[in-house]
Amino acid sequence: MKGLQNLRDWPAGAAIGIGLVTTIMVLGCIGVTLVQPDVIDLSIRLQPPSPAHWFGTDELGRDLFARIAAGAAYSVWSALAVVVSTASLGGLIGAISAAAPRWVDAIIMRSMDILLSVPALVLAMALAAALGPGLLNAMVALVIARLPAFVRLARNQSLSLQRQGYVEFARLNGAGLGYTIRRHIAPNVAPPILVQAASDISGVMLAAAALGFIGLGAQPPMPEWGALAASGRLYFLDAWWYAVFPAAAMLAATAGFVLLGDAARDHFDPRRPHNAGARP
Amino acid sequence: MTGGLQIEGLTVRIPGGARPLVDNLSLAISPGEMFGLVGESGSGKSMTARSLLDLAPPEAEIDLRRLIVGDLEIGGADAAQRRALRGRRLALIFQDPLTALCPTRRIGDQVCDVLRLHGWRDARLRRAEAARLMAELELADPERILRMYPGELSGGMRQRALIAMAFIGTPSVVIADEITSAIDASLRLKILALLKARAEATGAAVLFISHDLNLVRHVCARVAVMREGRIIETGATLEVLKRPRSAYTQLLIASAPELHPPRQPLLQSVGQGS
Amino acid sequence: MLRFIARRFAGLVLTLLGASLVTFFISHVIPTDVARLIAGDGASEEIVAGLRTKLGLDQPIWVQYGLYLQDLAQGDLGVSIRSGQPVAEELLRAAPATLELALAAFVLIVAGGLGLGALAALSRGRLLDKTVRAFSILSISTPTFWSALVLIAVVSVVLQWAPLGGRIDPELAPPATRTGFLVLDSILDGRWDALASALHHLLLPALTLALAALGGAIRLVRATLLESLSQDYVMRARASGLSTWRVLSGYAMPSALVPFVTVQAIVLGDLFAGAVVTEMIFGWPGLGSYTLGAVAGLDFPAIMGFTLLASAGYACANLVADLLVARIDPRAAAAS
Repeated sequence: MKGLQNLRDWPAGAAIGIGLVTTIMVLGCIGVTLVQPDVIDLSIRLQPPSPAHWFGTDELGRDLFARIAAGAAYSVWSALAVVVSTASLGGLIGAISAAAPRWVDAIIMRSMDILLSVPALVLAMALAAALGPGLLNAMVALVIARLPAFVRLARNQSLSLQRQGYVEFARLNGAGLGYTIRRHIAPNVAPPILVQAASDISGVMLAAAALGFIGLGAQPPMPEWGALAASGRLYFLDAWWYAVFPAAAMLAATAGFVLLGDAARDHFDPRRPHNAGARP
Repeated sequence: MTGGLQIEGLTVRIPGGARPLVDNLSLAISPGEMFGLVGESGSGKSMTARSLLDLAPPEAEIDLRRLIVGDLEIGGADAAQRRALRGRRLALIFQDPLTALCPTRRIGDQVCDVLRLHGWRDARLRRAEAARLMAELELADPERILRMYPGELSGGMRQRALIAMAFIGTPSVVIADEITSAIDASLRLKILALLKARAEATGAAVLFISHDLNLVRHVCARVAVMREGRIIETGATLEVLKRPRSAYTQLLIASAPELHPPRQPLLQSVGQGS
Repeated sequence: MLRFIARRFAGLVLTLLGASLVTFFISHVIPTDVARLIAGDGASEEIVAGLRTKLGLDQPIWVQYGLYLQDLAQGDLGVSIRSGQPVAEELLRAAPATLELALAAFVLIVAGGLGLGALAALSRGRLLDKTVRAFSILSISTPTFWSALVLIAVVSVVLQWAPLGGRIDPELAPPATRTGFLVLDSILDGRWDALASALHHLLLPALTLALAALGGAIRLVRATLLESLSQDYVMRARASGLSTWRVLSGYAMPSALVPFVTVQAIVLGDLFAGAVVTEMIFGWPGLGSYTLGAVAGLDFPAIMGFTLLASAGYACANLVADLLVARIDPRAAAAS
């Protein structure tokens, strides 16, 4: 990561983004190790925020701060897992599609067109409903729904690379398909995919939370933020903190990833002067 | 001297820049004259043109002692006054005629936009005037050209349309900024002849900006050589070419191919022929 | 141009076929026993077997798809598992409420995106630009349920400026149903009290639905406009003395509009999904609420009906966007 060396050149937005994301990540680490999100104490139901319970308590007297910290692990890490799987799977399929015989390419791309005929979020919802409620199923649904964008990106990028002289030269000299992809295509397709993936994280987090909110994602008692906010909504007028803090955590994390995605995009943008000519 | 263009003490600097982009530049052009401003890219020629119309980047700081355009004198560095020059007294012709025309709108609409600004209220009369202007620049079938999009015309045709647009409203001064560098070499002299003909017909003073001394000598009797924001040499074109005073000018002359002993300026005959 | 339109229409049909493949796959291939799903857990084995034969579920998969397509072509989306009513009828009844909401949100997105985006681009680097950019980042980072709850808390509960939910004041007699769009029906009926109430109820849900996509629209307009503002032809238009408004509307905006229009079709498609959360919170009786009930009751024909309807709306939006782009940019029509 050559880019990390000149961190000082990065704009303020990136710094805020890094700060927010780091905070949430640390919170997630605390969540899985230190706090106890499932301790029920009915004597302190729906308590407002206090020194003992920073974010208040829920309808079973569980500490909301602990639940949100534990939820960070589910919400953030599951979004990251979705994006990493989508990007690597999409990148692989796209690169294969570009290099494979024409009929394989046609089959892959027509399948992607079929997936694209349904709006991405609606597709994720329908798939999640068919697979059954649950965080893992929601993640699978999101991967499938967002796959076509990555496949197309990787394929178009690889195709334009294949027309470059040095790739044709390698092929003419007997380099195999696998070798060409590994050696010449992959390293140059990776940056735009990474940028796309970085700016996709926030969208995936929002979609996963929305699925959790309408009952198709994480199920109680899992403290995923969307599911937490959905339970909190039922007590919204009496206990505002119950819905507000999970949603605020969600907002902070998404804003952090949006800013990071922007920074990644700016950094790799070939139109930025110091990047001029960086991409073929 | 009244009329024409007179710039006194133009300085343009970008905050944090090592030296001013334009450094205390002064020059004077009489009405109907074509005056050459030459220098390599980055010497501040285009910045001079743009700051006169307040089209320089917003962060640029512009200082100007005095500016006379036609019969109007503007004192100091009043940006609003310079903006008011746009189109009415001072017109600018750009380097690349493809990028200087909006690709999504027909030529006719873009010409008519400017005409409307100059009081052509009636749409039909406006259209007829636009066609007349195209014909004046020797464009065949002007009606058809007006209906076309910029992408459907050749570079030479686009630049003619832009020249026609620049002279709408008979500005006192026209600045031509490298107007032939994006055009086929075979067409350059023709475009220059048309520009010169229009300038002579309207009495506009022309500031002809170019990096190509070879071209400048065809159309400009006087020339100024610019380097790093400053005018380092000025005088009659033939004189400057024959006896360059600065080493930089010698270098410019030497780097231009086929520019050996300066002969009779070519365009005096071409320009009068049209 | 005519060939262009014809080709786009053919594309529309293909897209709808694709969507039918997706819904068929989800409803017939993923579940292990479709007949059991439809009949319910309590049904006897004979009933399930009978249903299987009746629905053609014992046939090979491509025959099943053929039957499915045949039904779709006749507008038959199957029967709802929960209500026993034809899904198509139920969807049609719920659609106007959602379309009204989505269109209102869409107007807000387009107007806000163009207006604020242009404002930010024109005041680049200044405080106004920074404020608009901060707002747009906030907008894309905010979960829909959060903006809905905040708007309800502030506008409805604290300020009491807007109702808590629903489409119209329950004490008011609704206008005669002609189109299903309450705003339109009220106008047709001349019921100005109903119109005011309907608009009042529409305000917060539309704002909620719009907020999620507004930030993206602003950012897109700002970025593309900044790019086109630096183009030579914009500088030339300014040098010609044209007014700022004329330069913006005639020169800088058209080329910036091309990506904007294309992306707004996608936004419109995603509004269908966004409507589910929004309608749930505001008690809006539209497709979203209907689908939410279907999801809870594992009512697959209903969920697939919604998916197909959303895809059809999405495909139409894409078609309109393509035609608009071809109209704005002559090169787009020539290229295809």
